[in-house]
Amino acid sequence: MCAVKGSQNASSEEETLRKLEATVERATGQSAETLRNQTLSELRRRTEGKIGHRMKFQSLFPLVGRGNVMRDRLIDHESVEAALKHALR
Amino acid sequence: MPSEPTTLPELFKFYHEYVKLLYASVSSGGILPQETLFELNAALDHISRYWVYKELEGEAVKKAYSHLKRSCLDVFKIKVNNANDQFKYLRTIDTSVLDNGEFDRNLIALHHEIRIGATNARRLEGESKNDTDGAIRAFELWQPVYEKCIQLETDFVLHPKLNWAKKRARWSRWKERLIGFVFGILAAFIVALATPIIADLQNWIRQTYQSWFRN
Repeated sequence: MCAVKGSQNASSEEETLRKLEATVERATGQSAETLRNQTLSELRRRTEGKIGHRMKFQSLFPLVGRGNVMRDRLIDHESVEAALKHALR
Repeated sequence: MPSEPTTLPELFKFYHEYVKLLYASVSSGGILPQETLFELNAALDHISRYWVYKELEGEAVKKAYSHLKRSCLDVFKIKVNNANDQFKYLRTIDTSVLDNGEFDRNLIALHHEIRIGATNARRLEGESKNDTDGAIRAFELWQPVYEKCIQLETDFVLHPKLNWAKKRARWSRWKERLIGFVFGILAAFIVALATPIIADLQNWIRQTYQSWFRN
């Protein structure tokens, strides 16, 4: 009985994973295998090349997350550099 | 979603199978949510404790898994939020003529399914915060919702005739303004013409009334 339940769970897991992979492939235009094999830096570089600008960071609190101080501010790499330059002046 | 990992290899398998895919998906638009990064950082911190502070593997894995799982669930919520924004944006455009009204009907139906699915998944997630199986079931409920969010983006936001509908709506707005402007000028012209006639009519009425009153 337990073995049957276990195999059902495993097939359900595989089905969920297969569907998730198909959806992500549709969203990103890359195969799941390619996405897994890339490092996060390669992934970021490839995304930046595709969209034509540097990656930005956005706070989506309180929709997600358990609290942070950035709230809804958008900040990109150049802004961080500019802020640092201003602080070091 | 696999059953809860108890060893580091199982945890990394979960990371590569699920977390990395969802991370790639959420960052594909060029914007990365800070909260996702916070969860990944927290997971890394727990993993490091296994080697640095000799924390028990099972304990470190359990805590790290909790953060990784949260990052996945957050990605689903972000996608639902984006889909909601996209739906609101699409409703500002007159898309009633697209596909003989099918576009609007399907869009509203899909958005309704997303809302109902997300509400159910969130309820299950909330009801079973401390129940591992509950979180797994919530993940299985989130998956179809996530799929529908991507469908909304690819089938509706990127619909090939949407630009045409936008241009048409823009032209019809300009047409309305132009008609309003022309009617305004016409009304001013009529008033300018009618003012002396009305003044003459008022004088005539006044004089007639006064002459009757004197008699």
